[in-house]
Amino acid sequence: MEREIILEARDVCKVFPGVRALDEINLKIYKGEIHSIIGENGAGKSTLMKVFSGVYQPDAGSIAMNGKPVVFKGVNDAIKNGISIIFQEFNLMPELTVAENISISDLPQKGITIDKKKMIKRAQDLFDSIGIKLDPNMLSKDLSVSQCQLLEIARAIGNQSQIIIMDEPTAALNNEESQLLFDIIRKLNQHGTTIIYISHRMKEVFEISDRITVLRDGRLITTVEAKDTDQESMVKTMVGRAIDMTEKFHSSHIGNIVYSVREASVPGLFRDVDFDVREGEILGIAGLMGCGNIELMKKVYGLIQEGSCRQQLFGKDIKISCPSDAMDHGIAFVTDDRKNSGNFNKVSAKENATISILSKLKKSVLIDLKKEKKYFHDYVDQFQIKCQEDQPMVNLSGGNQQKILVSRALMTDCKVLILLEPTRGIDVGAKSQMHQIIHEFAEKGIAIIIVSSDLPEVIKLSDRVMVMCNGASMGFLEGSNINEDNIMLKAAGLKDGSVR
Amino acid sequence: MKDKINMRTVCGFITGKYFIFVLFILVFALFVILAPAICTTDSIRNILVNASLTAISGCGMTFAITLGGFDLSVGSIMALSTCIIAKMVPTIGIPGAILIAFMVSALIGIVNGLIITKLRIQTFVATLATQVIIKGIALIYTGGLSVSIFNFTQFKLFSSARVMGIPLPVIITLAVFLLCQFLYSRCKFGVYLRASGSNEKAARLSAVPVEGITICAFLITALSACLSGVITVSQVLTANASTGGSFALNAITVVVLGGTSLSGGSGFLGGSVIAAILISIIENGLTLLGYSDDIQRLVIGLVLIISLTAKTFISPLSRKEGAAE
Repeated sequence: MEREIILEARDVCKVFPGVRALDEINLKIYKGEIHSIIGENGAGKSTLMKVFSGVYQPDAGSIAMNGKPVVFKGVNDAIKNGISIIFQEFNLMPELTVAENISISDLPQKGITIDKKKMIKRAQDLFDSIGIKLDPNMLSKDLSVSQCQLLEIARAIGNQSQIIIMDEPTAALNNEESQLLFDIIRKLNQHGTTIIYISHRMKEVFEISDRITVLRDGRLITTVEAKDTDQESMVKTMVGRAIDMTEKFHSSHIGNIVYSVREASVPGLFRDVDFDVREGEILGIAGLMGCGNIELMKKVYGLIQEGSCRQQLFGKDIKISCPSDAMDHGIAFVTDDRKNSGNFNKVSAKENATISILSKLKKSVLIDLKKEKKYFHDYVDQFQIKCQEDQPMVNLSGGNQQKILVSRALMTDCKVLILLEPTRGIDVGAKSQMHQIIHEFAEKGIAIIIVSSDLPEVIKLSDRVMVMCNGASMGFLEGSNINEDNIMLKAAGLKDGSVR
Repeated sequence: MKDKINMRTVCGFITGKYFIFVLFILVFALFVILAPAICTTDSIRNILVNASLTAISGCGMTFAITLGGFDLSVGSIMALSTCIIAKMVPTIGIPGAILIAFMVSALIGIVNGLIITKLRIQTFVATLATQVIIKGIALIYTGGLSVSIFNFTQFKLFSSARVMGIPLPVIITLAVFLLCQFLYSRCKFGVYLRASGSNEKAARLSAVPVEGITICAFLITALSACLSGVITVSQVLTANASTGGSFALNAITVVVLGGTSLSGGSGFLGGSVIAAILISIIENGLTLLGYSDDIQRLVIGLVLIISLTAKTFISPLSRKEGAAE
């Protein structure tokens, strides 16, 4: 059966420093279909959508619409050509009303004034036509997260687009709201709108899709009809990467439980998560984006105030309500967001490293500069950090910045080290050095917790892996059970309970 | 239940956008009790005329702050326009001098906007620099001397004339306020201004001409400063390049006191005007009670702190009340 092709990627490539984000992608989207794109974290889904919607230009290859090659100079250009995208992060103007947000690109005029009545009617008609309830006069800063999502969707629909791209639209929605969204998607689809849908959630992908495309490491693996396949085989297609298991680290002296967390819950993020970590052990916490693993670590480190959790260190109850409490107990933390919550950009590498131990370096009221230098150079030598001690942090490479941040944590003589995305955005060489460092410090007896969206990394480093899905723990994997299939099946919510 | 809702509405009202009205009534009532002389027609006329300069520049400043920026150059623009008028009136007459002052100010406003948008310099720094430059130009232009035009008494009418008992500056202020309010709430410009101040990235993605709006906003602040200059020179018939030192800060004070959000996107012109009158009442009231200028400064600073703290302390209460519903 020949179907009309509305949008096509032809040999599209996109390269970012150090990563081949898209590698010769050839994808045909049929007119009037609901096409889901799935893949692991970092498989290239969002990048491909940004190429389709004009945010990025492909480095090679082209985009064709209705058979004709097109170049979108920006999002507005794509919108004019009938493609709208709803980003993961909202693009609303909080101080504007709902109706103003909808009409901002095309305000109805009456003479030199704005026709407010028409603007409100336009919003109301739009909401009525897709069956959502929002007050057009409300300021959008007063909307809930799910209402913001609905407003974004309404805006895209209001653009009269032929193609609407949705990047993880249900991430912030509850079940009922998701169902409402699916109803809207189906209704739009009946009117001939083509939908490209990105999600981690297998269940909803199968609930609404006509066809499914799997991306892995920037390559298109397969495109199939949804009715010809099932969730399990799709998950297996998403993974299937060859991992050299000879590189796997094994911690040799795993001792007693050092740190345990019980019944950790934060409404809307995760619930009833329990885990222990032992002396000299590396515990990996895996899961798809939005599963709550990062937030779980932020909670135990005292960065999230809401919710509750019980924590024990060496069998004694401890209470952590802010990061300095955690540090006092010997728990150290390395952020996943170097740029915004790790680096002091314009401060020297040395001061970046020693900021957490200044009280140890005190000589009466001054800082003992000799001692500070010694601490710094100990770690520089040990980690092979390439930098001058006075060099501003911002001028260091990503790998060296990350090593400095890890030194900062280790200098505190921590018993427990929490590492979020320890190798995000650093080159291959620095990555393997970082893995070596992590392994060495585990061998010295530190209990290490790693959260990483890089699955091979989790597999390579971890002695045990806890997998999370939608804010719940799906159990632990140990020994030879730590492999990509098992982790992904749990992460997609398909296999519960622990596999021993 | 009903009490709760009322409580919430009341809290919401006094801590929200309209806090300045509550403050205004309280302060005015206080002075009516302490210094009843404040209620005379002359005194009220005086208060309003004194408020008109900050109110006009406050209206302009509200646009810059709604955009999430500042315009520190208004004091210098005001000083330069007084100098231009005083120097030019003897040769080309009053209307011509005023026209040229407005044209020069408009040019400065546009240059401010261009520096901010094209050279990508933050508003604070950009206008800090142009403020000094403009002051320098004014000093060079006048040779650092005062320029007087005492012979042109008809120019004095501009500030002393009354229409149905209302002083002309007050009428001008009202007209400026209405015009700005119209631009802000009824025209495309206003929505674009709030959009740009609220989330610049989203505004750009929505095809809002952020750069053009920025230039317009700084043009408006410059014009409002020039208008204040016209009124000033007509009041005293003298111009001096070194006037207007605290003018920008006074304008920012009334805008902030009036309830415009410094984080951008939400301006409140009515609040700025009321705040200008409130400060004028405090000044006149304290003068009537025999307190010096120094004490007046001190009180105005305290009022600013009190009004901002009251908001931070009472709003969480009203929000909690809301969550309990």
